[in-house]
Amino acid sequence: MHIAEGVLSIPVLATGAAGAIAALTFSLRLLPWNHLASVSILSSAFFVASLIHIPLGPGSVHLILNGLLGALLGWAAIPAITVALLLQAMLFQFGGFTTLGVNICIMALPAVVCGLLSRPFFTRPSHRPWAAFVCGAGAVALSGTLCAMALAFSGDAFFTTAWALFLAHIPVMLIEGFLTMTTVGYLARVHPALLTLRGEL
Amino acid sequence: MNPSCSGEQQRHPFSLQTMQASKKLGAAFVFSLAISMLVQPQSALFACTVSLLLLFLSELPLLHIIHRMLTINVFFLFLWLLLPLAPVRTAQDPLFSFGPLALERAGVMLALLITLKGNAMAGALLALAGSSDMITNGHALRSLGMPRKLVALFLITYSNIALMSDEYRRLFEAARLRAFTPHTSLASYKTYASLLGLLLLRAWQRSQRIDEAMRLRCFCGHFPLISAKHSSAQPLYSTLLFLMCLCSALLILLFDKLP
Repeated sequence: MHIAEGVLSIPVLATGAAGAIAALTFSLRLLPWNHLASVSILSSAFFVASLIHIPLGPGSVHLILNGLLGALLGWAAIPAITVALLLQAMLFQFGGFTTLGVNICIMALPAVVCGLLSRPFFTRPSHRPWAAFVCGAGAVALSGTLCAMALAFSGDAFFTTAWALFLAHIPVMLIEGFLTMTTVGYLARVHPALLTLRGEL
Repeated sequence: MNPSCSGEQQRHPFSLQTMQASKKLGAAFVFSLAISMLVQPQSALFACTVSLLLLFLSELPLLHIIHRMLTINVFFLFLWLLLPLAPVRTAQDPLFSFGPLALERAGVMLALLITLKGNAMAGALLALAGSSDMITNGHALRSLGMPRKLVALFLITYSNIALMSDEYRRLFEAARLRAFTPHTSLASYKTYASLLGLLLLRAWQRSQRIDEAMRLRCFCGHFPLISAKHSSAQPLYSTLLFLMCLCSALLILLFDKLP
């Protein structure tokens, strides 16, 4: 989902960096020191989960899981995603230092928005499945929209690429929605306390 | 994960692996920022040659470099498929056409510029960040002014990725032993969701144990630096490297402004 280095224009990069710094400053203030280990280890689990390739037709897609991360961690999802993006840049050179801000906005802001909006519905069993589906699929849809917007604002030549990128993510949205719905259902049955973490973090 | 950290061997004084990680990350940032401003393919090509020199100095295994660069170029291949193509009726200055589509000169030049810039930046990042281990890089990020909480998150997350990866491998192996074969079906996706849920559950339980252990050891957000590699880093050569990257970035930017 995140954008490689060398593609975006300077105004888009600067806007992304400013947005990311503001979001990070706010979320780090909310994160207490004593929850750092929990957030880090869940972040590493999400990092590993995002490397899983799910079969789709003759090929495969990899998970993003920002909706689920937002639902579990709330505002702490922003530093967790920042760290994952930094690690991806340093270990695999996916993204980089100049696109880090834009990529944080693309991945982390939809995670927090969808997580905060869908979480109140998780407590009611009748609303939980659709709320979790909307959370998972909505976060990918929002990320895809932001990604397409970042490309489109970088130049008229990127309009087709932006549309193609957004359309390519529609199957991923549906798969993420279904996986988030099933995973939230599973966690609600096995360890419901995990779904009420956000109040603590 | 990082081939640069294996083994202690005699390295030449200009090897990036003996230099301070903070200077290398600073150089990578300055260099990337300069390249992101380029508008001419010639100057992007100049940047690529500097990246090649940095990759040579990094002493990373050639196969590792080739693998990384090929993976990065998958995204640029996607851009090459979309940017230069336009319908024949609306195409401006077409290089050639095939059926209803034409290859635009402007699109080709833009795709070329992005590919060269992206490769130069990725190459420099691979050489400069990939030649230190991630723990050293984490400490370097702190010395560059990154907030302590974020650095602590970075270090703990990195330390647990291998554990979580092993955990997932065990869970997946157990599912495979129960005749699970991944394919495109709801049943398959449900199994993946259960594996994911179980992975998160194990991560949460592990985090509780680690949290308790850290509190017992009076954790207050400070990780003492125990890496010997960092302390033996050469400050003079590291400063020279940073200045070289800064000068190259300025030269490339000046070259880009030439008519």
